Amino acid sequence: MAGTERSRRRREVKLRKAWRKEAATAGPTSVNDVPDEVLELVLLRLGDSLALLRAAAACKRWRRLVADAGFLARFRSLHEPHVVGHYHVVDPTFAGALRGGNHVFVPERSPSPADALDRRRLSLDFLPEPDGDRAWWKLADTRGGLVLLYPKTWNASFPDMVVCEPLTRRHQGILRPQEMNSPYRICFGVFLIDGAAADETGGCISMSNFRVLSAVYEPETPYCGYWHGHGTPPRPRAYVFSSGVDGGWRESDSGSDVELPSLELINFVGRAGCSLYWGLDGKDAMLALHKTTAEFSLVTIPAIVGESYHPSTFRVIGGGDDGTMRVVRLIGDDLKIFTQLKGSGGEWVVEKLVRLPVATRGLPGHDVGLFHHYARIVTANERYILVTPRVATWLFSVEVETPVVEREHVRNKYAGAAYPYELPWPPVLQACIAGRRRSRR
Amino acid sequence: MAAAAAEATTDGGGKMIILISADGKRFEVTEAVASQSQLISNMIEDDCTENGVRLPNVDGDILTMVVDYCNMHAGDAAAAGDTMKASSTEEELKKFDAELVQALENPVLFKLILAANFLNIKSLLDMTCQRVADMMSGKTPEQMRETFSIENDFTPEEEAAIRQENAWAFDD
Repeated sequence: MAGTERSRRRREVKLRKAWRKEAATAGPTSVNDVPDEVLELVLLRLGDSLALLRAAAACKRWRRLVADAGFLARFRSLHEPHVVGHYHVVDPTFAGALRGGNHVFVPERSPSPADALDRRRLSLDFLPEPDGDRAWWKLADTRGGLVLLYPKTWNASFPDMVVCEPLTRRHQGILRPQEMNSPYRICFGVFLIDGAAADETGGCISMSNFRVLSAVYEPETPYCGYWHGHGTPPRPRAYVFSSGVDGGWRESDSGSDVELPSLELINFVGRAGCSLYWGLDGKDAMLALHKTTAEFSLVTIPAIVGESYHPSTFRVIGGGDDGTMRVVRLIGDDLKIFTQLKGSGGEWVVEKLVRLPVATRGLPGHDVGLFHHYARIVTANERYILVTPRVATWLFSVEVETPVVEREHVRNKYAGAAYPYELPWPPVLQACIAGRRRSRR
Repeated sequence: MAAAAAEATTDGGGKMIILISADGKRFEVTEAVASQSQLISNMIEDDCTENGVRLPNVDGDILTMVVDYCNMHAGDAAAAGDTMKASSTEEELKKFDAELVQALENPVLFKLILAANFLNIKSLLDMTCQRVADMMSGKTPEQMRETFSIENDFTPEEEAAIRQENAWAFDD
């Protein structure tokens, strides 16, 4: 067969070439004898972008291979960005508040890439002082390698903010939108979200493409003219800030006919998948804001999930079937995780149940009196729920997947939410990349 | 065809193939063992293994390791349907693989990588590349150069610029 003949000849040529190459090589075989495509296979197996940056600093050839956008895209598809630690926020209403800031960085347990990082780089000490007397920055959100903060002295209806990348010590200030100088509209949540499109290396968020999503409360419009007759009830509005040359604030045009109760009855209760959730006191529904569409909607809560609602006993977490949300409740002495069954009925069921006074027995400092006035949720995420009795700040965590209850874990020292922090992606590789335009940042 | 002259037949019924290393060492293996090399598998398909397969860029000592590896792993495909057997040998295989790459001197490791790449044995290439990546991780650029005998071809200015660009990655 002609095809067989041809492939046989091709292989013979390959064998002869290999023979010649072997003969030409002098000295012991080393990494320098390995062809580019094989060296790439090695580099793809490095664990994280820190190891990649170090390899790219070893010699020109390695640097050229690592800096290639196609290589970086392949690397990203094989490795999730590495979480090197969490910024823990401390709620000042609990004992153990921090001075001069509301956040502290806690690295992942060893061994992790965080071991090679100088912790001082994550202290955010490079940020300019915010305006105001003895002001400091409050951490609002993190996403990828970026952190969003606003000044502690936020008393206007909408804060000026700053977004920074701690590891590269870069930051960008964000002034509030013009129309927010009106005292009537009030911002009730700010979040970092991915850029509009991922870049060619699979990078979703960086200093050059991040966005900030802001939820704004628009109070009822009073009767304001004889032809109107009635005013409109309070409504939510979404504003999106985009970085970059064409950036700035824009009001989301996905209009909302959701009606809100008064502002003090709205409390942020968590996030799951692409949505952010607020509990609405006195309503059998939650307010949801979709991060990509910037659209608000109401999500009905069935009675068994919403029983004796209070913002301190109600949280939303992800990790349900198909990444759907779950609801964490403290009802009486019981911690319950509700999940919605798939299928037409969409019935809500208790997926996990932990009886707190019993489960915490044996933990250091446990006392039966601790639960006399029940407990409250400090924070909750897909991994764990942080709880304290109401009578005293006595933090313990409940693992979501296993019923492990503990006090010792370092995360249980800080009474507040934990925001994951990842190594920035894509890595900046512009220096010494000969003759090629890098598409980075 | 009368090509069967050099192809002995084992008790198991599989044909035997002769592999010949650069230094003339001959290895007799079954088709099933040799077919883990995509290169040889293609040659078998094309019926061009009758006079033995000459591998002019693989030394005898490297080919010994490759043949050992292929002999150990030849059961993989056969045992795939038999979960009991697969699970009982899995641990042995892991131990064998770990021992194979763990103690290798660099020149041997890279020769093995080149052989795995040339013969196109994906699992062996994956394993050896992983070994090199493991040796890189946790090292500074200087330590990587030292470990792998790489020449630093950056000027001091270039090196300073590279470090400055991602100072956070070079703290220790």
